[in-house]
Amino acid sequence: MEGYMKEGRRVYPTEPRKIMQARFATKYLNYLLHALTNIGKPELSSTLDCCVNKEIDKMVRYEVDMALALSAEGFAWSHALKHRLRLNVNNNNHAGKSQSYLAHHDDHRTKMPVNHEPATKKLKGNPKRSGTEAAVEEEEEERLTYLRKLIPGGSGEMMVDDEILLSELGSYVTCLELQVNVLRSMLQLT
Amino acid sequence: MTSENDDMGLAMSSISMFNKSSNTSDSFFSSCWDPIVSQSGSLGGSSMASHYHLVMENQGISGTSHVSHYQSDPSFVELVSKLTGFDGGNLSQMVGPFSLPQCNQVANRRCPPNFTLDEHRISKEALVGTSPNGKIRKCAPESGSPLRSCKNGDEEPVMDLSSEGCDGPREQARKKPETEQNTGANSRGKQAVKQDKDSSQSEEAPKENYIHVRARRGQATNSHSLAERVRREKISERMRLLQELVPGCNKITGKAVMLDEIINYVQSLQQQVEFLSMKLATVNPEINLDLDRILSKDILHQRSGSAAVLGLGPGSNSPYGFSPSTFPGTISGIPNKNPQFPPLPQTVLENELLNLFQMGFSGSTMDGFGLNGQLKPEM
Repeated sequence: MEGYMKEGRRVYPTEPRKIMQARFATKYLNYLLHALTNIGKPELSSTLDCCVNKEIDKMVRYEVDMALALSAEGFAWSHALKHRLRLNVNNNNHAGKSQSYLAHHDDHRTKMPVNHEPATKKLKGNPKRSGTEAAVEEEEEERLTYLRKLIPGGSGEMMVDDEILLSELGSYVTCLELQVNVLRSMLQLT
Repeated sequence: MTSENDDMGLAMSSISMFNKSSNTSDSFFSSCWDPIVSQSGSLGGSSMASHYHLVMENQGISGTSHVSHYQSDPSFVELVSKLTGFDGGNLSQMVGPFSLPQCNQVANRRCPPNFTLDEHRISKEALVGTSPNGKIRKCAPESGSPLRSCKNGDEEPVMDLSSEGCDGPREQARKKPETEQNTGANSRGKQAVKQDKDSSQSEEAPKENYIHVRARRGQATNSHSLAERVRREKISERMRLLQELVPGCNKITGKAVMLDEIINYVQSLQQQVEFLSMKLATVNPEINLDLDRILSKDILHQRSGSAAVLGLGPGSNSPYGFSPSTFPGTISGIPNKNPQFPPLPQTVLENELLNLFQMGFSGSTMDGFGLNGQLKPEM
């Protein structure tokens, strides 16, 4: 350890945020590229194309999420995401059928738009503060619970506090953005 | 006490180090290392969100053994106390609202941030910083419930605002911006002066684990409403941060609408990820073939058309890094040269990364990949 770092060798950029972004990108890419190459190999030996495609889709999705979880260590959501991925893998291994991460993921995504509209309408239509404060708070609660479903681990015991939830959301959003950028760049190359 | 300051200086290098350890043997390490990882990780994560330069400045400062100075800097002490109060990866929560005022203070006090970070020393501090691991974890349950502990037979109701776990030795330097303690055992609203004296006296006495909150004039001063107000302020602070993150939310006032926007944004991001991953799955076979090409040049050249060019590290045949133990580096043609690795291989990468950054990146969020051929697999 001692031989690597030397005093005065470092010059920092004026935007330290880039360091974190680059670090995330590096980790993410490295993991993902490795994982993808390993996915590709068994494909050579398989016969049915359609079945393989689904499997590959799932595996790629798994790897993508795993890369995210591993590139952003230290957050409650990344921990929860890792946990969920491993659980799903185990489920898949045992059950053998597609109780896939994708299916799980899509379920709660479709819920909100149904509830969404009436909530916002109720908010906008009422000028009086005092009468509707409870209603406003209810809506906020609704949205918070929905957010909890969106973020991995949001319903767990780590994020019971609202403040914690919001800060985890912040980190989750930035990591998602970075992930999207990485994936997009990867696709641009091929 | 220096160890807590060392925790402060952890930020990046420790993230990498702890990532390594937690990846290799998850069940064991994650239980032990997670607190520190969470701290440093979420510190780093929150830095992405905002206010990272505070940490950077502090890092640079700590590189030159200004450790003792930290204790005299109340704002920084506050920050450090929050850091060591492990609250399950909530460092961003700690850094977020407080780094804004603090970073101004810090910036003023230590004029040119000394950016020549001694990462080696930081990483050593990282090891030291793990030694109060038990201490941190013990303190965590204390700090777990912010508002509930304040009513247990205290003569003077004090607010325990969670993240102040273990700042035992540091309580003499308390932060004094907008918050001071209302020691209102006599909680009368208008006696600000008297309470001022009381609070200043009580501040002398060791008051661990608490953030002191002053009751505002004309407002109720019983502990419930104070705690409630503090909590609400924290939440709105977080909402502000989120507002900066989500594009196009500058003009939105109102929590519910803001939450709407956040929900939409998160959903859209997740959909994008899914779409991109499906696309990736279809081109997957080509990725195998192009791996070398990708890693060598194209990402960097295509991605950032600007001056930044990250060449391969010395020895382009080096094994790739960051592969978990389940992927035994089976990429053909790339010999696995170093079966045994130095404890912090990742920091070598960062070295290169940061040298790269000298040239400067331009553009949007994701400006370049710090990809380096000289990566070593995890231990």
